[in-house]
Amino acid sequence: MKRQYGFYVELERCIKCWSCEVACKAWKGIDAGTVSLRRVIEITSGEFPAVKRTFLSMSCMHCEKPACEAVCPTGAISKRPEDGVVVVDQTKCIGCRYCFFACPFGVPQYDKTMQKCDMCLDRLAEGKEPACVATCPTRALHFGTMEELSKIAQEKVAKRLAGSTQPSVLVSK
Amino acid sequence: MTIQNTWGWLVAVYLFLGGLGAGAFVAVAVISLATGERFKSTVRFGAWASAIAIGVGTLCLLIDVGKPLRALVLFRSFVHFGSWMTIGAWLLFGAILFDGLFALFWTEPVLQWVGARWKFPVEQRKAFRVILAVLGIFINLGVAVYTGVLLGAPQFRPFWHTWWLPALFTASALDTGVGLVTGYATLGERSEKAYALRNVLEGCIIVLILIEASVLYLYLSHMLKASPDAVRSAELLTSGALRVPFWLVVVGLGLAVPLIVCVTQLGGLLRKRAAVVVPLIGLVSCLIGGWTLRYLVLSAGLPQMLASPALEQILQGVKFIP
Amino acid sequence: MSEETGFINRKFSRRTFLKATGALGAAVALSGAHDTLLQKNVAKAAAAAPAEEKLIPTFCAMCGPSAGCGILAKVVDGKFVGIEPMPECPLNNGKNCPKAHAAPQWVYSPERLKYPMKRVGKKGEGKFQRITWDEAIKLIADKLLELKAKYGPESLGTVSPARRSYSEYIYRFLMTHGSPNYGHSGICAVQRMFVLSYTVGAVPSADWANADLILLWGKQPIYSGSSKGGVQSFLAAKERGAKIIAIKPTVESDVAKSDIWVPLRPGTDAALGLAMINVIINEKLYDAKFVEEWCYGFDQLKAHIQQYPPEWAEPITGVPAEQIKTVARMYATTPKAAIDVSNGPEHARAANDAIRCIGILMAITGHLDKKGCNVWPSASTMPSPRGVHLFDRYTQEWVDKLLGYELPPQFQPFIEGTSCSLYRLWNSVLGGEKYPVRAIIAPGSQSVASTRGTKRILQALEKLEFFVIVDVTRTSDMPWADVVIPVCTMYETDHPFEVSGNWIMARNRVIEPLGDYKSDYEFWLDLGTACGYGADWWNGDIKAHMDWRLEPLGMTYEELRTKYPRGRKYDPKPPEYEQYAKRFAAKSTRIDKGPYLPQGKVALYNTLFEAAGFTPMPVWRELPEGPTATPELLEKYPLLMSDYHTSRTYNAAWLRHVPYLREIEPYPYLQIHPDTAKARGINDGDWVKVESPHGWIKMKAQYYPGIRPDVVFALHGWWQGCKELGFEDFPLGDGGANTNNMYTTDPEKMYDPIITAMTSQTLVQVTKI
Repeated sequence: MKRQYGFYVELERCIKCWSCEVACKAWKGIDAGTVSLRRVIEITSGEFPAVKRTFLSMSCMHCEKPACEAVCPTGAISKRPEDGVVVVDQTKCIGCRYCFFACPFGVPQYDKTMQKCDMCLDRLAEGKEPACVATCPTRALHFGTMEELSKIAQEKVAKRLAGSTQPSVLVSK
Repeated sequence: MTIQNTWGWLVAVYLFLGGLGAGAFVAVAVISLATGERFKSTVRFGAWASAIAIGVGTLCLLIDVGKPLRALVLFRSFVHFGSWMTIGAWLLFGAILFDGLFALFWTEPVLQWVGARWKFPVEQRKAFRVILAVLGIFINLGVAVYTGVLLGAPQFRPFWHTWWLPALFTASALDTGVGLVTGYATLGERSEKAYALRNVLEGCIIVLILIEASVLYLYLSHMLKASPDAVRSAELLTSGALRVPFWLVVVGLGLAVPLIVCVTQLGGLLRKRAAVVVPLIGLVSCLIGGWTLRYLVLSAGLPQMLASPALEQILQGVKFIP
Repeated sequence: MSEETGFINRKFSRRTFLKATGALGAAVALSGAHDTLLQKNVAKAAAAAPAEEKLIPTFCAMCGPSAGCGILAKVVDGKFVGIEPMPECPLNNGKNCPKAHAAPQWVYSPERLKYPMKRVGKKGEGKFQRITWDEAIKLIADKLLELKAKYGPESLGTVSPARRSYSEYIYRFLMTHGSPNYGHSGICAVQRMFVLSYTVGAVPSADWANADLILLWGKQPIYSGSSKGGVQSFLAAKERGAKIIAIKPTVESDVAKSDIWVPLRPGTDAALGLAMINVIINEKLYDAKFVEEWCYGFDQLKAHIQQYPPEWAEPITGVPAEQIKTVARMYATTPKAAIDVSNGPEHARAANDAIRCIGILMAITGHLDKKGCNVWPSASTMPSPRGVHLFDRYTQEWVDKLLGYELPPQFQPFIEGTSCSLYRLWNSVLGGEKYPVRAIIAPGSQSVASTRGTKRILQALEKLEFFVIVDVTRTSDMPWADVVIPVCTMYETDHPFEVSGNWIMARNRVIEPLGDYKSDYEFWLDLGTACGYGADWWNGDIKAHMDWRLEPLGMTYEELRTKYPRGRKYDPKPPEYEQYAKRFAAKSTRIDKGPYLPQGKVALYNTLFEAAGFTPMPVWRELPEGPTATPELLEKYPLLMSDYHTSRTYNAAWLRHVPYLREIEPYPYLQIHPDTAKARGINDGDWVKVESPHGWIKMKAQYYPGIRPDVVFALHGWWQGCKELGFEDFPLGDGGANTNNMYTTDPEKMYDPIITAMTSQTLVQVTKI
């Protein structure tokens, strides 16, 4: 692989504003009430009054070893060698949802065929960041090659998101 | 706690019919190999039932996917053989083919029609029947095992990721398949040795049920001692939201009732062998139990919980409805 | 047992059956080429470059015409499709919130008003007939002049939107017409501006960039504009190592990132403030020098505060006395400490007291006008564009004519102008005030959904003689309107300019108006001119008007647009500190132009309030219904309820119909502690009935660990459905989701006595439906 692109999410900066989620849908022209390719989740812990809320913006992890690719019967899912982006070929996908079950993060979503983040390949081609990263109001979302991201993340003690599929996502507190 | 429903009742129908058809074929293939033409009627029934069951099951699968017409073109769509679904699709194709051919070879009017045009297959029908039976057994067993392996391949559904699952589904496939064939043998087989066939089949059912029950027990016990995610899933069936259908339908109707029916039939506990009602109850219960088993196993296939209920919601793909 | 499933809703319908049989029959003849329906993203990636794509620098309009975040609006083949970042706007630096991305859905919504209408059915029926813009303007002008002749110009009132860039135009129209009755909502901003001005002479803001400790008091920087500076300052302060103490009833996003949470009961901020002052004074943690030199009334305050120790405040606020002491001590002893207060304390009977306490806390600890504390705004080298307000025409007679005071008459006009409490305007229609208004114009404002006392307002709507709404989409009040004036969204107009700090930029039109309408600004110019006040309204010439406004900057509006397409930046002046003599001598906007602080010092003891008949020092005023106020109600109504003012996806009562936003927060949720819910057999997501002594609503229970177990919270403003997603409108009164039905409308209990802040706390019972 030439290089692997990935995301880096600073949990402390994510404010669960959903801008990334809506920007993505707006860019891709996805109808409301169908699927969302990037979603913000919350992890709540603790008892009143010591309640802790952490927010995490998640899209496809573009894993080094994508479980989705392994189970796709049609070969619609492939990992691009030039940038490590995992894409779904919409002309081949039959919408069987097997990839949804294989993915440890439940990323692929069903809307006749399987939809998921493709790192805004069309924007990358124009030298622009993915729509979610471009709009994040707190700059909690970062995008770049895994090497670039590791450098940025060094001061924040970021770790690669755990998983045997090796997600291309770094996370820091 | 939410249950899995991305693959829902329709997928359960497909898994069930696939297993049923596979089991029915194996049953009548073995009967045909062992007894030749003696139980022609039963063999013919079983053959057609298996072909139709697997055919309808596959149809359900096609309806369930997003692009059925695209999926229908197997040689274009099912090309990635690293995926169990591809292997399964071709197995299904093969099973429909072999089951159908086998059925044709046991259907007289068809043989007459073919014979008028092409003598060879009709003259050699015994040989064809044997070859189709033997090959068909392998393919159909493949289908039965595959229904479990399909679910087992993804690593991150702890309740499915185990060899116990294909074992369970295969046992259930044979159980329901033999049950269907037994039902016909009891109600429709007119040969003079039909009673012998019935007894053997009922005996087989008892054995199969005992095997299936053991496998089910071992499977769930294993799960209840494994990771917290596996426990969550298993508990849904044993004591949680799905406990009523599990105990009442899967265990009660699916296992206990057919067992009791076969034992009473065989043991002659009923003074007069009940001709219709009792075997019918046994059959219907067995089939209902078989579908419900698949449906509940699907429903309990919870993802490995990474963090919070909210994450789980996302993994379930839950959306609102107004 | 199977849960809700949206997209996997595979019922075995006739359609799927046909698909199935068709599939069987089709056989191999069908090749893959049959898929003519390519997914949108494939089409996007594979398609050639779009025919005509433009990126237009302008401002987002989703928070309403006011300080708008900069955007590049993307227009493809004449259609507004999305946005790209515009980094030049200092308000948001190229970042945008989800509302900005959903804007095209709002602009092209089927709920948009497309042409002016006049009522033809009965009031409340919602039957209208289309008329032209000119006809509509004439209709309104004629009616207003008729009512002016019959009842005097004060028979006209307006209900205010939130602060908008056209708010001054409303004031101007009222002035030229002759009515002082600008109806302000009494639920936000003006309340604390007033009290702080009369306590410390201004509204000093928290110096986030330099503070080591910040008390975030009833403020929600993450909700109210997640793309704006407040969020950036918050996170930057955290990264710098500043400590943040969040004082509010629930764990909102900002509390999740704060160091300490003070979980006080809603409406009890004054009690907390009084107790904190008590601690600071009694433990001698105050800045004696500053108090000596720059505070008036310390001895009276000291004597007065003895009755409010932390132990007294604990049962009222629910905050342990120890925590009150800790927070007070931390604030007093940290040299660079600031308080950032916002709307939270403003919805209570003791609102003025709470704000006064906060001003007093800043003063006695010497945390005023110092780096890292609460500071005055630094000046700018940018000349101010001309204001539209006719402040110099105010007279005492004018003030006396006011229908019902939002702020006491002795202190009017305040910085925005003379104002009447909006609720009182409606109340007057039913004969509850000095005199009734006969006509109300409601620009960008829906009283039914956004202010307390919904049922009374609904009654008033039936009786009101002439009601005009001026808005962009259908509103909840529309069925009672006599004339409906649609106006442009700010994407359909090229004015006015926007100012953000030291930066000014001309607005650019993104698309042509989608119907027969103009902008809000053009509306007031046209109406003013049609009423005969053309001399004050540039005779309707919007261009001339905009040029007039920009004259002090030495350029015309077109020059601003063409010479500075991404705005013009001016240099700020360096900040000044400890300018106490100047600060405390600030002149008020009253008729007499006297200073806010008659002693030229911080008013710990407020002689002006005293002279007007109000308490000179902050006191505690109980909630109309509350655990310590009305314990006898607790058996029937055991939980304390309040509501949120803002959200990340909506704006007050609007935007519920925008699909992208509605799918994120689709239901009116009631935040409830899981234990409290379980004790009532309520599961997460169950629909519940929430009932107070005054009304009831239906909400969806949301398990929320970060809330006091004795408190429940909801978002206000739920009335509108979303057709695209299959949601219907909610009923406006009981049985809907409108929190404004829940609170008292007893005039003795519903207001803060000085600033008419309207209470939003009550006791409720929550039961599963």
